[in-house]
Parts: sequence; C-alpha cells; structure tokens
Amino acid sequence: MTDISRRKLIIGGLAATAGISALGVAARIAQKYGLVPPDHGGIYGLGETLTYASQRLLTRHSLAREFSRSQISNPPFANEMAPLSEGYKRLQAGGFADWRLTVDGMVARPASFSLHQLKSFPSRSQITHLACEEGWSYIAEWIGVPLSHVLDAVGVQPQARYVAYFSIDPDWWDSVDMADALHPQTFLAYGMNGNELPVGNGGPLRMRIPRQLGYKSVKFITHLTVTDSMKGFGKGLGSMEPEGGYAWYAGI
Amino acid sequence: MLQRLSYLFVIFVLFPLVIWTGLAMSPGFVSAFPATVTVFGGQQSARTIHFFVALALVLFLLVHVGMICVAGFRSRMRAMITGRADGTHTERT
Repeated sequence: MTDISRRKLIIGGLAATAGISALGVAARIAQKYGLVPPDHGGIYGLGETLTYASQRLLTRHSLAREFSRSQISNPPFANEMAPLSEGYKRLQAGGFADWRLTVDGMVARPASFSLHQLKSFPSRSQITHLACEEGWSYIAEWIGVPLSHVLDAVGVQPQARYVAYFSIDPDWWDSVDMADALHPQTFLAYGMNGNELPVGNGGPLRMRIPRQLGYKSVKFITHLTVTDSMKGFGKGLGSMEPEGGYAWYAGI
Repeated sequence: MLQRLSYLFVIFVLFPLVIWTGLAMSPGFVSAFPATVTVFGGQQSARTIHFFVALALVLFLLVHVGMICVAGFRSRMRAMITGRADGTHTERT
C-alpha cells in the first residue's frame, strides 16, 4: 500500500471538515430562503430537496411555453377517473350553481366564491401543455381566473408560504409554494378550448400549474387553505403525492 | 476498434442525449430553457428518443459486463480499482 504522509492526513482532514461544515451552512441557508420542500425527509428527501432548490433558483420568473391555436390537441384528452361522488353528481345536476370555492387559512378575509363570482373576476386564457407523470400529454386552451387575483381578494398574510388546494374528492389534495401560487400562469380554470371545462377534464373548476407535472393540476377544486407550514395536512409531506411515493415538487 | 468506437459513442453521444432528453421532459427546467425541448419538436418526441437511448444504454451495459466476464472479471476489477495491472495476464491495448 502507498504511504500516507502526515501532511496529507492533515490536509485531508481539514478538507473533510470544511466540506461537512459547508454542507451544514448550505442547509441552513436553504432553510432560510425557503428552498427546502415539505417532503425533504426519508430516502428520497435529499434528491427532492436538491431538485426543488435548484429549480426554484432557476425558474423563479420563467414562463411555461404557450402555443398557437393550431397546436391545440384535437380531440382533447380526458384520462380515466374514479367514479364521481353523490355530492358531485348533485351539484352537477344543478348546473354547478351551488359549487363553492372556500378560501381560508392565513388570509385577512376568508371567503366563499361561487362559479359565477369567479367568472366575474378578470379572466386569463393561455394555451399550454399538460404532461402527466404517466407519459401522455396534450395541449389545450385554458380559461380561468389567476390564483394571484383570488389570493389578493382575500388578502394573504405575509407569513404565508404555501397554498393548499383540495378537490371535492377528500383524498385528493395538493399544495404549491407562494412563488408558484402567485405566478401569472397559475390559475383556477373554468373553461377549456372556448367552452365550459368538461367534467372529464376537471370541470367545473380545476387548478392549472403549467410548470409542473399534471398531477399538481388537481380537478374539481372546492377549497383553498393558505398556510405557512404543510406539517398539519395529511402526513405533513406537502401533498398526498409523497404519501404515494411521488414528489411534492413536480417540476421534476 | 469497434470497442473504441462504441465507447466514444456511449460517452459522447448516448449519455449527453439521454440527459438532454430527460431534462426536456421536465416542465420546470423547460420553462427556464425552452430550447431544450423545442429542438426535438416537443416533449413527446424527446420522450421517444429518451426511451430508445435508454434501451441502447442497457444493451451496451449487458455487452460491456458480458465482455468483462469473458475476459476475467476479478483481475479486471482489481486493475480498475487499484490501478495496478496483474503481471500474470497480458495487457490489452
């Protein structure tokens, strides 16, 4: 075996100590700037943290690609869904007149909006690409109200860091950080390709987050909660996705 | 000769391609650098290429490990880790 001199041992030891303390400092800096995702624990936690932190640094103001009308997928793709609940069918029978979006949590004025009210807010339309984890994808024109507008209407408190959103299906919920929630392309969609949002695509209301994978664009939204920590929701991992083995942050 | 060509191809073509097409499937990364995916004509094209390249890499891996087993696994692993070629085997150029 080769001889290891004392000098090399000392230098090696110093380098190792410096490396380990640099990691500690980096971790604290990441925590301070909100670069640590809720699913940072466990076997995949380190990978998820590195992905989230690096993408958050790269993509703070980036915009997802918007396409021309001729590139809209025809026919629009609606994937298979679990059977709809009785509650949903009742609302559907009433033409969704009684559908409500309640907003609570760290907001100044908790509120409950009907579809009619949401449609009276300034609307935005964008032609973006929805890509599923499973591999399929399609392009459609989505029409809706920017989430930032809804959040402004209820008055988000300054210590809020996440917006959790819930589907009418109690097991289906997700969350995004404030950077994504306030992003101009994040919105609650009620229209698609010039018509009402079809039930198969999440009608009457779905979240649209074009810079992340499709599973963050949850369908049938009924409830938003603004919060500063995802620890109190489900298993505290940020969404039901990490509980199923997927990532909370899905920009991949 | 074939070995050298295939190694060069794997290191300088297949690996960069598989990483590039992989990034092209990330909505987050692509929002910051759209050219990553537009050069392939879209996310679905990038995905197809990614799968073919991944298949090629798996085939390469099988052939690579197979060759090593045929040529002497232990001595090659020892040489790769310690950097010392074993005197009793002929050096391969």
